[in-house]
Amino acid sequence: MFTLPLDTLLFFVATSPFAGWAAGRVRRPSLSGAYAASGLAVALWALYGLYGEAASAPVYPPQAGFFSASLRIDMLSVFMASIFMGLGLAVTVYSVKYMERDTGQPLYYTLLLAMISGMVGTVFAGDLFTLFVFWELMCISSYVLVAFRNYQWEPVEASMKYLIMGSAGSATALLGMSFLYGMSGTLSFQGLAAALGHAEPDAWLHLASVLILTGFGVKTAIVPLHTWLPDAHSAAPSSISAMLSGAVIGCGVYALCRVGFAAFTAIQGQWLGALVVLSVLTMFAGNILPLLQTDLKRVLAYSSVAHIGYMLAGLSLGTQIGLTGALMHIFNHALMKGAAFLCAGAIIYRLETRQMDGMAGIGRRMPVTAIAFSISLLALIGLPPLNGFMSELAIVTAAFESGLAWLGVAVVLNSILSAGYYLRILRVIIQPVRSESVEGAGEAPAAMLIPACALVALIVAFGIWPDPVMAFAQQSAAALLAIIGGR
Amino acid sequence: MMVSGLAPWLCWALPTVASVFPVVLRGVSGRTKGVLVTAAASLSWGMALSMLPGLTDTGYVERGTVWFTLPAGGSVGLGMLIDPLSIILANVVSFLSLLILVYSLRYVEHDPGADRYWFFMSFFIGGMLLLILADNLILFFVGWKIVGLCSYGLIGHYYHDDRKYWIGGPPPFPSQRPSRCGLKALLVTSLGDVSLLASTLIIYTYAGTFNFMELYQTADVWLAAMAQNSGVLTLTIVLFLAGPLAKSAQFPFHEWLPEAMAGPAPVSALIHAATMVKAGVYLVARVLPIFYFAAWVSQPSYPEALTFFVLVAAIGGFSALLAGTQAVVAMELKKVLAYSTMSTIGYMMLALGVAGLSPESLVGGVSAGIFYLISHGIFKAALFLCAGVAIHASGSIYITEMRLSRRRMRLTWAFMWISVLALMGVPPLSGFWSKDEVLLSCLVGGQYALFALASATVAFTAFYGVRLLGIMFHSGRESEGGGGNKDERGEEPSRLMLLPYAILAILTVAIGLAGPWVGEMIHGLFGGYFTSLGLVAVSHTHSTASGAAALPVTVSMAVAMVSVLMVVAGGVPAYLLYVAKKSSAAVLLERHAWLRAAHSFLWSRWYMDAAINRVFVRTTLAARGPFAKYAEGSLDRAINVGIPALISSASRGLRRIQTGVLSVNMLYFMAFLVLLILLLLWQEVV
Repeated sequence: MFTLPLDTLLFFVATSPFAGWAAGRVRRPSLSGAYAASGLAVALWALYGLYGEAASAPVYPPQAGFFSASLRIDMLSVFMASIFMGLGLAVTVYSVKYMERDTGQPLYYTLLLAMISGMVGTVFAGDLFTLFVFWELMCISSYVLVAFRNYQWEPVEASMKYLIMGSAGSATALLGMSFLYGMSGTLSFQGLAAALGHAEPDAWLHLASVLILTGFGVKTAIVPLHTWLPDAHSAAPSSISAMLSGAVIGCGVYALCRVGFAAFTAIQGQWLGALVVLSVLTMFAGNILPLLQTDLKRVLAYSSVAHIGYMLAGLSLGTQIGLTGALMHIFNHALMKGAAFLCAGAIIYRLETRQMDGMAGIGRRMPVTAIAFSISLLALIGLPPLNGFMSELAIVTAAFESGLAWLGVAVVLNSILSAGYYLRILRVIIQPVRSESVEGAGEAPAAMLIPACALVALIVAFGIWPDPVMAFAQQSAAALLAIIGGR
Repeated sequence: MMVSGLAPWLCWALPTVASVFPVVLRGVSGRTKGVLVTAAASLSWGMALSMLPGLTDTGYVERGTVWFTLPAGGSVGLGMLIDPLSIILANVVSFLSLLILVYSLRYVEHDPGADRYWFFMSFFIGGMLLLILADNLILFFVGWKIVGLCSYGLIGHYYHDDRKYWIGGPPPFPSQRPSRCGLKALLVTSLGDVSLLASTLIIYTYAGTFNFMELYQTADVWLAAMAQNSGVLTLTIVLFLAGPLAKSAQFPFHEWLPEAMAGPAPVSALIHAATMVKAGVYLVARVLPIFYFAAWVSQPSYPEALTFFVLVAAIGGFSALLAGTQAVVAMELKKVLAYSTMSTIGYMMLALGVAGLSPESLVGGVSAGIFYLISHGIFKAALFLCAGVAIHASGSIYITEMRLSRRRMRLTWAFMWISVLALMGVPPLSGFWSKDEVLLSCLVGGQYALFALASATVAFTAFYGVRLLGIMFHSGRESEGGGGNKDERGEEPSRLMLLPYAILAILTVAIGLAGPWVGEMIHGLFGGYFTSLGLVAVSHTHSTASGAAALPVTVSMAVAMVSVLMVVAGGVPAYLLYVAKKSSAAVLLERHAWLRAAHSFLWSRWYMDAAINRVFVRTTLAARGPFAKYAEGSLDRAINVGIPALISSASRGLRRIQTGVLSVNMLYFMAFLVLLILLLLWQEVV
């Protein structure tokens, strides 16, 4: 139909409700989670098969039949898809235990798989329309997932705001895409690159870029379009927060990259210049806002905004090395933020509160969780020898090489600033125990610890050996820039 | 080369990985943890042994891969460099570490901090082997730092500062806590480390690589670039040398070594005999070809590079004398051994320095230094292990209070005498041949002043060696006949503790008996190695590969005679004073004022510790008052009150944009569009 990884995912999306019903019949709701996890594993294996092909040249899977879409799979697509599916697998395994107290689990896993399929479809898309369809699939699933625990007011309200803003964004992006279609007569990325690559920079192109940037910027949480993010990421179940912060944001950055480097190369200087300013704004806002927050997940949500700022900083340089740094940071951030949210979720699972005042000393009762959480926090600050350091180093080096030394300094300054709230979380975890509920808390269940520890192990491994990720990111950046050459 | 690919990797990785187990495993007895660590060390020794067949070749093998690439291009490698130097050292280190770990099995049996001990020991050994086998400066530095950090943990093992573990004194002189001693060691060596790192980065800026062999092979290119800025090479050398000189406790960074005796005896054996102090010698030997090339072989030659050898030789020679004199008056057993270690390392540095001061002495100097390294490691480790036994048996750290019984500790007494005689340089033990080679290389290189310095130190060494054992074992009344003294203490330790230093003492004798042959072998090894590197053939017309052999036999004999003469000159007075008791030190001191002055000068460590204390410690403490009043107050307020206030108000202010009202959020949408359009227009204008 489409291509094997995507097809596998969509198949599992379609059949998950039935698996869930069957699981309900045998009174083992967690089986639907196992079903979803196995689906992701199969899809990952299928993606691995694609990796070899995409390394040399973009793959254009032949389309025929009822559901034909234009797909273009290059290294960047494989890179992003591996992030989404890998994090998705960890989150799914984690959710088996985390969501066991909730009803409607089959719905949850179906939606989760749908969201991942939407993201994978977005990165596999070869033209704007396909991208939009899968983008909407991802968005709508994420709206519902944020509001999953609909017996509470907070997730519903957060989801409502997310929905309105996200839909406004999608509509704006669609308007921008229509302008692009009007200007070039084609929707495919190659076509856009060919038609608009050397076009005269006129007002319509500028307008289209403004609309696209705004539209995708909502999902990417560029300040000041980020206001939905703290609410949505805190109110969603922690596993979904991990996916939102780690993967969905990355998908937004991808969409900006892809459309930007395909259609807007004629006005590259301008729109990247605007992006530089926006990235600095995003960084600073994302790092200053959480400094006084007391809600654990809200702090982590704001920090996601800050990291988007770093990614955009790398992106806005437009050079190979800047893009490598940005892509590498998407990868590393998915690992770090995913692990952080999973550990935070474990703590919240035990304590049933999100307020950090009530969490004092929890690390002494949940040592493994605390160690995993600490490692992910230190990685988020950007300390060597953990993985966040290398990607931030790449972005800073790229900034210095492009002559924007002040941007590099801003990134470093922001890392230092972020230590202010990451270390605060660390302090809360290792303080002496003060409350009864913390005293009685036990270690998180193994089914939740294993995915978190697996992500942390990868954080440490890629910190000590950053080369594989860097090479992968470099190839992806090259593939992204190659579209201008007309492939 | 017939070296198995995995051997060097396993050699350092096994102890590193094994170090985790004592800390992580629960419900396993301390004894088992010790055995686990010792087993890993023995496997590591096995790996080192398996590399020995590679010694027959001349040349080197490098195995590695890229560790990570720096974003701006350039990369840091992860590889092993296997050449005669690293093979020899890896074997020495792993063998001595194994024996010391076996000794530790019994030593820390009842220590509550045993888990910590095994962790640090194993990690230390792994780090030491890593730095020996590393093929580039960054990987080397990782191992170097691991060694430094573990030494801090090991020296400060009794960090809870129980009074019985304090060293220093005897009263009324001050004592030091073990935690402070560990900290002092860390600080002084870290100072050297920072300097070494700075020098490494300077070299990288010019050379574009960290790899040792690449640095050597592209030396003409980057030396030329460096020479364009005058003084950079000298600066690099001075900064570079601070690292190994600090690590090997040479002047002026030597003050941490005497205090490092606060750790348990096997720790002192490992750190001060076998490994850590040798790391500095290793580094100097490792980079020696580069600077020798710069000074003698390359066209044009860079005389600035001679600074390297002058510094190393002068500091080495001076440290040897300095420490030798201080050991003459030391009262603590382990302090005497510490000073003697510093003195011997001085000899090794002297040999390495002399090696580069003239083309004739290259091979002789390096092989003398390495030969001495091997033999010193063996007999000094034995001495420290015996010291541990002696301190435990007598319950005191001061040799004057020990009064050990020769009858009841017959074996320990014998082995200790063998090791001390080797230290003094008495033929035919290993120390004699290696010390002889050092002196010979000084002569061959024409360094007569250094030769005189080294020979004088031989006399001092002999004196304090005999003094040490005289006071320890021979202080009881001689004439008691067969009964032995009632107030003499001591008993033979368990076999697990006795065996390691027995092996080492026997090895000392064995190497001594095979002395000339071992020396020749090492000489040939390095001769072939340097020839393969191209250092020897080019530098001189007549053969310098066998500089020592080219000398007439009479010169070698003369040097040996001088050496023995110095031993007698130092040893006989000590024998008379401390063993035969013809007079006593106290009586002599009373009679001669100049002896008293000399004694107090040496006792206060040439006033160097006091000077360092005054310049660094007291000045800093004195500056505290005015600094707190004038600078800290306002600066403190600005940083700790001002900046948080600034940022919190920014945070609070910024928070207000999160209204939670959806219509406001949508307004931001419009605001963003406007902002973007403005930015784009501004770009157009600009």
